[in-house]
Amino acid sequence: MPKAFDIVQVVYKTRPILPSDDGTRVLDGLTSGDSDRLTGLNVAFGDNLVGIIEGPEPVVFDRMEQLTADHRVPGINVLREATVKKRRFSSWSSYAVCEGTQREEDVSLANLFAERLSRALYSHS
Amino acid sequence: MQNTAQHSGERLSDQPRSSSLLRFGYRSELAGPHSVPVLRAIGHSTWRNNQRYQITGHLTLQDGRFYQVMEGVAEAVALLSASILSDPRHHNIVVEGYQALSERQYPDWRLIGFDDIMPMSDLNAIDIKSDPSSVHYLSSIQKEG
Repeated sequence: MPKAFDIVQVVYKTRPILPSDDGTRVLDGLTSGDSDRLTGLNVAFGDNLVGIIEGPEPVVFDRMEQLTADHRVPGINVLREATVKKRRFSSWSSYAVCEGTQREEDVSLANLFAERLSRALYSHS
Repeated sequence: MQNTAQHSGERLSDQPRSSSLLRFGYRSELAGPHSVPVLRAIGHSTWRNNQRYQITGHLTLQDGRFYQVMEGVAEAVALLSASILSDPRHHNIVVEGYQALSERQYPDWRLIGFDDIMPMSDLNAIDIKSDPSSVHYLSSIQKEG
C-alpha cells in the first residue's frame, strides 16, 4: 500500500519570467504530467506568475524544485506553505492573463492577487 | 462566497487605478449548508461589492453548484477572484479562465439573486432593487443551461 502523505498547499510568486529560445512557456511545463496528484492553478499577469499548488508533499516539493531550477524563472517568492486537510481545487488549471493587462500594471496586479490569496488562505486556515 | 475585500490588510480602493478590463470565470461547489440565510448573505455581499467596484457579470447557483463570471477593471477582478479562490465556502473549484476584455460583455447586467432559490420576495427583503435587464439575463442563462 502506498504511503499516505500530507496534502501541502503552496502559494508562490515569481519575478518576471524570461522568454525561452524555443518558444515554450514556463506555464506549459508546469501543467503536464501528474495532474491527478497535483492540483491548483497558475495565473500570469504578464510575465509575473502567481501559483497555488496542492498535493502530496513530495509531489509539491518536486514541482517547486522544478520551477526553481528552470533558468527562465529568475526568482520565486513562496508566500504560503501549509498542510491542509483537503484540496481546494478538484483539478489542475492553468490560465494566463498575459494579454489581459497593460504591461506597467502587471507587477502590481500580481502582487495584489498573490497577497490577497495567501493572506486569505492563512486567515481561513 | 466572498466578493469582498475584507480579509486582508490590503484593501481595494473604491476607485481602482487599473484601466484594463478583465473577465474571470469559475465553477465551484458550495461547501456549507444551502440555507436561505447563507444564500442571502452570499447574494447580499456579492451584490454590494459588485456595485461598489463596478463588477458586472452573473452568478448562478443550482443544486449547490456555483457558476460565476465577473468582469471589471483588472485590479478589482484580481483581488475579488483571489478572495473567491480562498473562500472556504467554495470547494472543488474549477477556474475557467481570465480573459482580457476591450469592453464589457455584460455592461448592463448585474447580480440580483439566484433564480428559483432566492425569489424576488427575498431579494426585496434585503433591499436589492429590481433590475429588469438582470432578470432577463438570469432567465436566459437558465434556458441555455
